[in-house]
Amino acid sequence: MNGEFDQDEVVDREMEARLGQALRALPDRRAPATLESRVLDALAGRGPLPWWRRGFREWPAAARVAFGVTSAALVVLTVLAAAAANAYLGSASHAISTPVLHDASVFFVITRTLSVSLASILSSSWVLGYLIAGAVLYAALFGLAIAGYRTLYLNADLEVRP
Amino acid sequence: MFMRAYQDMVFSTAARLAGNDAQAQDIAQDVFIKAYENFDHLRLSATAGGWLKTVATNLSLNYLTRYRKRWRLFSESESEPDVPMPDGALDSLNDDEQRAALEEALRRLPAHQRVPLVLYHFEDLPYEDIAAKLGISLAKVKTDIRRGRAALAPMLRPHAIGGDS
Repeated sequence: MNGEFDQDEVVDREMEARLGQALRALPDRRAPATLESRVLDALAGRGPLPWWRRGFREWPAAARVAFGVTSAALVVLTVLAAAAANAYLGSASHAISTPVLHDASVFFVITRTLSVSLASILSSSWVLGYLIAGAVLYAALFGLAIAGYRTLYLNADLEVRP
Repeated sequence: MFMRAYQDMVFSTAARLAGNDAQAQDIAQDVFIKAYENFDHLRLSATAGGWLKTVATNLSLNYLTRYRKRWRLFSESESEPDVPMPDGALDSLNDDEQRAALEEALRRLPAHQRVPLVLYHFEDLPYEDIAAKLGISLAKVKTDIRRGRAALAPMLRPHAIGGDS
């Protein structure tokens, strides 16, 4: 019984190998001569791609300005929020009693350090702070846009839709 | 130029999966429209061929599932193939004719055998991935592929292409 099973297995494997070799040896089939013209006609019929599906450099000026303004607004809001958080943390840390501070968790140490650093930047060289925050946020937005584009658009057709 | 470099590969992939040249042409057209939409990325990519092949494969599978509602239902209800393979008939053919005969025999397999067979032998997908892609059991994938191979076995006579002797 086992011998028969083994023999079937061997025959299956041999068939798999031979058929695989034969199939892989098949040349590509020649595409119909009409395919290229069909594609070109379809593209001509569709018209140009909408601006939001093109590269940023090809966006309309208004859209680019709006994107820039939105990004700048986000930067300003984030910096203001950081300043507000700094003020809040500063007042909160003064309100905490010394014994509690001695027993404070790593979280408080980190937030205090960050808030002091941020306060220092804002008080002494706020311009530099704004520039750094702007650069970081711009990079973050840029990365997010690229990741979203690649994930939601470029790879959309690489998944089988049920 | 870009399209001419890849159109045979894309069309072949679609034709072998769809089993129908007219549908394969529709699928190939969709593939190249999507390639056009991503041309900025693809024209500089060394993996453009792989991208096109993957999209062609997935659009073909989408096509098959779209028109047959559910792969499982379609797979279980389809009739057995009618692939005439008279013994000895292949020996009189030259290599090109034998390849054409094998291609035709592959095309005439029922889709539930042809598609997993093509994914296994042309796309090098393992059984598990094929089962996941098609939404059918691993056992069914193996059974369908084995039956598909059995149907094509007469093409592998000693003098047929791919044979060792």
